[in-house]
Amino acid sequence: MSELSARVRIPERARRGEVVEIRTLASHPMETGFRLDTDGHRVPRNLIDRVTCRYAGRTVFDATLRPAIAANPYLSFRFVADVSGEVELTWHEDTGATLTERGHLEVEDP
Amino acid sequence: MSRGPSRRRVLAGAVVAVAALPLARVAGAAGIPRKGDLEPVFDELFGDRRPEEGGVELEVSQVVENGNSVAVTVRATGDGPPPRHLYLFMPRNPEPWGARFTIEPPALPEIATRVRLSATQNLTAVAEWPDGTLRGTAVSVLVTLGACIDENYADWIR
Repeated sequence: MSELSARVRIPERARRGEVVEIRTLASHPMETGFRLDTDGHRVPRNLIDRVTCRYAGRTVFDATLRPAIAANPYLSFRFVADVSGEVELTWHEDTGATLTERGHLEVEDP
Repeated sequence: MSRGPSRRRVLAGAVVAVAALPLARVAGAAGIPRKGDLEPVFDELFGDRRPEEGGVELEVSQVVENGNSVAVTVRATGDGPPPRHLYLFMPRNPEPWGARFTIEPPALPEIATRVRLSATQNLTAVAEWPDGTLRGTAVSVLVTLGACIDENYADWIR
């Protein structure tokens, strides 16, 4: 298992109806299971295989990641800011470990 | 000593050849791989449904030096209802299915990530709508140095 850590940029405020962007970068080898170590042994698979985002209590983004996603998985996606609430990102490792980062998005009427 | 102009000329020629490539690729529009590589994974994910060309845009360099980390943006186009899933496929990777992104409103069907490409191939994106409609596109990406280069890895490249 690798130590899970991630950076995420969650905007703090937006106008209602504005499109906001969430950008995340996790620190993880995304070991494919295809690589051999110097002794010729296969390096076991170890992936972040799922990343989810909840916004104001709704799951708005759910990514299934497989070995073709590069090490230190980067994801960016956007949503329409329609209501103030918590933005919660969770990274799931295939070992069962998870990491959650949260931010609050305040939505103001223009 | 006369090395002659040949080396310079060869280099210049190489630069022109590389510069000309992306244009040639656009003209040659890759098309979703229909047969072979993606059939098994399309069977697994979509049963007998197959994507129609269009409705999805892929933004990716057409020539990449390093297949270990290739920036990709995939988005659904058009004014209709948004798709529920966006998929990325790498037909020549050891595992051709690369990612599935499920998008629920108010999220928008546009995602950027970085992928591994083991070799030159037609990177493919497919969007799936709640009614089962599939649409997709493919872009040919020339990879100079594939991901996971390793003597023992050769067996895994399809």
